[in-house]
Amino acid sequence: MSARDTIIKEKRGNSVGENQNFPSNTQLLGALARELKNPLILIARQAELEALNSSDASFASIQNTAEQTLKLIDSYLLLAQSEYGQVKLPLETIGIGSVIYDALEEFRPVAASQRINLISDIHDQTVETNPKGLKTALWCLLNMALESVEEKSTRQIMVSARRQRGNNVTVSVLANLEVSRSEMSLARKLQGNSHLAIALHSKSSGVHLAIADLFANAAGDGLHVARRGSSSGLALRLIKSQQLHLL
Amino acid sequence: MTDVLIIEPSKELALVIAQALARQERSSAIAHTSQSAIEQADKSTPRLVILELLMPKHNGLEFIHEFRSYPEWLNIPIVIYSQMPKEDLGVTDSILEDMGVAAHLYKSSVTLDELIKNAEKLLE
Repeated sequence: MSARDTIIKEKRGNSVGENQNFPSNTQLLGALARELKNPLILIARQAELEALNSSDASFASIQNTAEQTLKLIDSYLLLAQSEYGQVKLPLETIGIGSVIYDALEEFRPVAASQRINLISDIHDQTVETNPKGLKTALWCLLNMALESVEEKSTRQIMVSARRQRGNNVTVSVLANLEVSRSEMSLARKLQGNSHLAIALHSKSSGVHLAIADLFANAAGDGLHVARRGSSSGLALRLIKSQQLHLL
Repeated sequence: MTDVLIIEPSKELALVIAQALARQERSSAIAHTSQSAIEQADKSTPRLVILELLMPKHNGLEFIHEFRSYPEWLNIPIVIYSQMPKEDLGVTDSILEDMGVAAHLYKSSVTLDELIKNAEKLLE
């Protein structure tokens, strides 16, 4: 019996269309993501080496693009593995200010090069969340915001953390993302995900939003549309820590 | 004696690392598998090993186990430069230290510059 016959037999033998010998779509996507990292690492490091020998700025740009894509892949892998229980993202009590500060610092050079002002409005809050997951979600939202800020807008992105009613702290990334509640709602109903509607307003596929949504779902009730004044964006709710903040 | 033994399954990436080391006037040897790495170290003892953990047949941890079984190579520092994040390794920092691993650097986020700086510190 050939390998192909064996595959066909195994596929037919399973009424739900799944077989231990065949990875699920998510596993396949994970394997594909890992596979893509090899050439991206090579591109990033080769570009870095070329940049040392050349004054051509395009090598640094290639390096940066490859590294950002690697980070996007790692973000996807972390949250997808967490959703499927392969990785644990345990809750910790953390001060949200430092997480937001670190995220903003990372984006400051690229924001400055695009003449976008990054500001924060943090009412120092301690929350119960996983710092790695939150960092990943914030990285994705900031990435998306940077891609989506329109030329005509105020060119400003604000990250805020505010206590809401009850025991929630809302972390918002606000720019002028032009996302309406109805778009988000419709996209979720139709697709089970929110990223397709957003993709219409983003230069990218909206994958950053889908990844942030994975974390927001794990941490609470998913991403939701936020507005403040003329700014709009996306927010996630975290649980306020009941522990006393030790100084 | 070779300054650095680069154990890296990707031929292209191994060459990039070797070229970056050459800029610092460091000599290097390249091996693409654990087996050829042992043979290479036997030909010319390295002062430092840069190691990818994810390799066909025998992985990087198996290489360390074998490498450390020879007394003359016991004190040669190893820098892991891998696609596998430290958290996925399933070993603690103290175990890595016991293995003589001087640093674990994650390929996705650690630049060539940082890798070479780490290597230079250990070669000084």
